[in-house]
Amino acid sequence: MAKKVIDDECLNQFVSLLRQRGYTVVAPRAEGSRIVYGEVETGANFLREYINPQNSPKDFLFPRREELLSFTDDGEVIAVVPEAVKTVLLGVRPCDAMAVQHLDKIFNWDYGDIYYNRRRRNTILIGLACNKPDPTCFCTSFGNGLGPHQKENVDLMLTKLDERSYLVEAVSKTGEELLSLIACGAPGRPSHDEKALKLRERAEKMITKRLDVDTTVKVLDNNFDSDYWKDVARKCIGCGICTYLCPTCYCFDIEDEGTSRLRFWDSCQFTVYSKHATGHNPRDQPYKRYRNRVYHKFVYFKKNFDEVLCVGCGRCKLYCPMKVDIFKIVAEAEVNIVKLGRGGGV
Amino acid sequence: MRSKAFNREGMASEIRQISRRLLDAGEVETVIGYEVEVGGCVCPVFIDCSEETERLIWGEQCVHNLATFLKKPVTKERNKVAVISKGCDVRSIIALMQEGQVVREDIVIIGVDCIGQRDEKGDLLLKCTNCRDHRPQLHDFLVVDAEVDVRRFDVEGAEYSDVEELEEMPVEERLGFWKAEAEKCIRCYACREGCPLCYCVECFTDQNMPQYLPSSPSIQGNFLWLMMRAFDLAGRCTGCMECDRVCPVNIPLHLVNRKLVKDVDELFGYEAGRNPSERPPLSVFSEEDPDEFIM
Repeated sequence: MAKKVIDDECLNQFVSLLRQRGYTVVAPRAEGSRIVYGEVETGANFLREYINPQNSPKDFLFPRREELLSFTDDGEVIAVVPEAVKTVLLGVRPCDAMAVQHLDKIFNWDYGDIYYNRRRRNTILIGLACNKPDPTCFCTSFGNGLGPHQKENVDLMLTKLDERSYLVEAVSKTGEELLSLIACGAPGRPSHDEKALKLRERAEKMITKRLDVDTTVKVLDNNFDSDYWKDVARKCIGCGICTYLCPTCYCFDIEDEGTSRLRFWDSCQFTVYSKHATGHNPRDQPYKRYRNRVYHKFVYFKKNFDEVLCVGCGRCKLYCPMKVDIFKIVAEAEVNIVKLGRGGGV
Repeated sequence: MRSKAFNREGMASEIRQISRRLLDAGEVETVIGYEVEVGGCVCPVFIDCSEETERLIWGEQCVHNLATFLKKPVTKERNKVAVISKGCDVRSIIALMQEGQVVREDIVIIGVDCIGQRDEKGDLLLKCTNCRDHRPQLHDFLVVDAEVDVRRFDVEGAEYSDVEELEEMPVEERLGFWKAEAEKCIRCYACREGCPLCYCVECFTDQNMPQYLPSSPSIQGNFLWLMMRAFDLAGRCTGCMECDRVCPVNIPLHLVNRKLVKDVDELFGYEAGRNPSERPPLSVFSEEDPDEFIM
């Protein structure tokens, strides 16, 4: 695949070109003290130094609130199909790009979700390799090729080689077309590849957290009733931060407001999420709700799609008011469940 | 029971010792305190046996208001718990006692002197800049900080300059300010879950017959949520600012709360979480209650 080396100025020109061609360009930008993905007006106002924005590509493919249809008093139903806004998500980390892969699966599982797919088809992903992963990151644990420099899930991949230059690699056919639009910059040379490889190896070494996914899945599957879940969920206060900021959590609710039928994010951490119309609630205790989140990610999704629904981005711990640590909880599950000596055996 | 005056490390070991005694004697089932995790971050911890008390720490990043856990089922199902509490946290406990949510005999308050807590960047928390509660006013044990013991703090009465600034804004501008904040809200309800005084078994937002506000994160629903949440806390909020701390999108929730704290102060001369035998002014009637708004 084709490669180029560009500088900041060239990257800015590229962003301007994309906008001229009718693309909405979404990239990490500062909002107060937060870093969030948002629309950028010029190439100059997106950030180049960050671990991960607080929100994720999910917000742009599966918005937190969207209208599905509307109706009139006469019973006429009007389907609302999302506008096909050509969007470029720029600066997507490999973990977030993998998360999009997971969302693709879920929104095309039993049927293709027209709302999601319409947006997805009109979205181009431009990745940015992680040269300095955070201590909370554990993306290399999942055995699906995910790592700080993984490029398979984007169209175009950027690797920051030094203060001045980026290596740009086309990954998909769309990426090839985009790359051909970049008039500035120089052709990529083998020395650039070597530099990128060194950065990749260094970044991978920086990720010290490692999870044995297969064992974890087995241990969890056999110990649903262990008291371990009561223990680990004690400091969870039951808010929805982890689910809403998670790049892969996709639960939603549907309600009518006025004459609109809306779909909006929902969270399994809320009491009402699992409450039946009878008033009965099978997840009546906070620990059952927390356990559900862990099991959905590490057991149920694995059974349905043979992948774990976690990409190791670390957002859930980073933004948790009480610092509940999903990595620690699943990584130490086996040892602690044995110690407790209850549950269904390891 | 007052300890002798310690430096920070001495305070931590005093906390451990008190906790050990309480657990060994079977006086409490659990101690809720702070620990430092492997990555260096401070977070709440539940200690059930004396061997585990070594995990307990004290320092400048014990920002969480552990009184929040007193309203959670995980604590309520225990017979008796001890809570490590700063001066501000104790005010939440007093407010919970005033409202019949916490029975004094069921908890042991390990009060800890506090000269101020700092965020991850090392900056003093906003709530600490005008603190009048360096020493907890109610406690079973008091862990004394040598610095608090001798230092006179300069803040006398409550200070509302931030609220006044907002009150002086023209209405349109103020509405614009809150609309922009409401727009950011993702309706994660961390403000509700983190607040020690938000303890309703069923929150009005979770009721759907009738539905009080739209569930979806629209500007209207968000705005209503932010305001109604604050109204519910009128005369009850003690200003611990957990809502601010936990909000992932940095909405300055304390400003709405503090506006109501100020109003309640001016109208009723009342401050929440001070006197356990007092009742919050909005839950009692008195002939002296101000009623200028009627005529």
